[in-house]
Formats: sequence, structure tokens, C-alpha cells
Amino acid sequence: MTAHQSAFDESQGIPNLDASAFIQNNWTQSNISAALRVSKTSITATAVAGIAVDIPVGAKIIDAHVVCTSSNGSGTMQVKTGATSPSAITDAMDCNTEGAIDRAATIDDAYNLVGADGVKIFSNGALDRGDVYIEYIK
Amino acid sequence: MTIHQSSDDTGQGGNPNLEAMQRLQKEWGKSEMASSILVSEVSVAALASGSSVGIAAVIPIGSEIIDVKVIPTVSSAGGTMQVKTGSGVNAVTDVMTCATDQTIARAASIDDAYKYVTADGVRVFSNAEADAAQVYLYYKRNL
Repeated sequence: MTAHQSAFDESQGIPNLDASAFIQNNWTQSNISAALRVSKTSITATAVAGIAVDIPVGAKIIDAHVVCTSSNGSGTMQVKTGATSPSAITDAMDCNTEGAIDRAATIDDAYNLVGADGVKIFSNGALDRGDVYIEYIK
Repeated sequence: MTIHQSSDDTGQGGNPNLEAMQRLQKEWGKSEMASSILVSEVSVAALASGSSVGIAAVIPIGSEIIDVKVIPTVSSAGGTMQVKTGSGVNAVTDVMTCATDQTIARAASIDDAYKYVTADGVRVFSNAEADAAQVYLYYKRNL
């Protein structure tokens, strides 16, 4: 099938058959499953007890990093399951210097498939602040 | 044109919904699809085939491999993972350490001569039979 870029122009009529066919052919279920998603969780209040992450059940977490938004000694962010007794998905990432990025050094394959308990971000201290980005596929 | 978020709900009178289709067409065109990052997951179990013939990754021909990450699922002294072309002759990435359970390794190099997937395909090769990992190949399609 030849689908021209112009098929996506409004002037070509919407919905345009070529454009719809192109989407159908090139954005299939397998492509959607393989698409990289990034969940952002901004920690702006204490996360000592965990802050829930918006991430669907069945997602597979494949990486994470934190961009620290406030300097705080010994600050860390860690991705864990949302269970009553949380299990670590990543190691604790440094979050003690504003602007600094730290990336997950470990991911536990026993827990990186999101279950019904969901996922939470846990900080080390009540004043730790950062934007936590979690990469996942479905 | 006003497109309401609710038009994407299956409850809005029919599926497919015309407004949702219109929005998809306008906002998710060829360039958006081509610039989207897709990820191919390769589960390398502790099998002899991992080190001998490699484990195939499912990636369309013409795609460009832009990054690779390894999450070891066991500890294996001297363990490594490497992405190569399907024949196993040409290296796409460097050899990534896969020796300690859970410790992530990221590709340090990608050879631009082989990062575009051909009919030969792409495979992940371990160093030894005992090596095991989840290997994630990040790629962009050539649409």
C-alpha cells in the first residue's frame, strides 16, 4: 500500500481512507504493545510512605531515572511495588542534588511486571523532591 | 474542529467513533509513528542456544536500533550479552556485562554500519550457556 503523507492533511478530507488504512497497517497491536511509555511522577510532598504511580497493571518496567528538583542530604527515590509490604523494583536512586540525574542501577525481574498492587515511589527523607520517570512497555 | 476527549470512549455511540478516528488521523500521522520509540523484548534463558546461535529479536526490516539495555535475571560469572546481526558475524553493540542478577547494563556503543535491520535480522548472543537476561532493544521504524 502506498500511503502518502498528504493523506493526513485535513484538505484531503477527514477521516481520509488512505490515512486510516495507513494507521491500521502501521500501528498494529504489536506496535502498540512495543511502544515505549514513560510515566512521570513528581514528588512534591513527602514520599516516605510511598506515592502511587500512574502505570497500568501488566506493564513491564524496563528502566527508571530521577531528576532531582531540590537538594536534600541523603535524598533518594526508589521504585517499589504498591503492596502492603513493598518489594523493591529498582535500587534507591540518589536524589540529593538539585538538577542531578540518577538512573536505576538494578531492576528485579521478580517484580518488574506490574501487578494489581501497582507501583509506588518511596523517598528516603520527608523533604526529598524529584521527578521520577519510569520506562515501561505493555 | 472540536474533538472531545470522550469521543475516544467506546460508549460514545459506535466503535469506531468518527471523531476519535479524525483525531487519530490528525494527531498520530506517519511522522509520529516513525518517530515513536518501540522496544523489542528478548528473554534470554540459560540455554546453550543463547551463546551458540543467539536468540532472535522481533524487529521489522529497515528499523534503526538506537539503544539496548540488559537486565540480568541470574548471576553468572563472566556473563555478557551482545546484539549482532542475524548471522552472528557483525556486532551491532558492544559486549554488555550480564554477570550480576538485576544489575542493568546499557550499550556503550552501536555500530552505525549495522544498526539498520536487514533481512538477516538481529540476534542476542550470550557469552555462556548459564547467562540469562531480559534484553530490551530500542528501535525506530522506517516508515
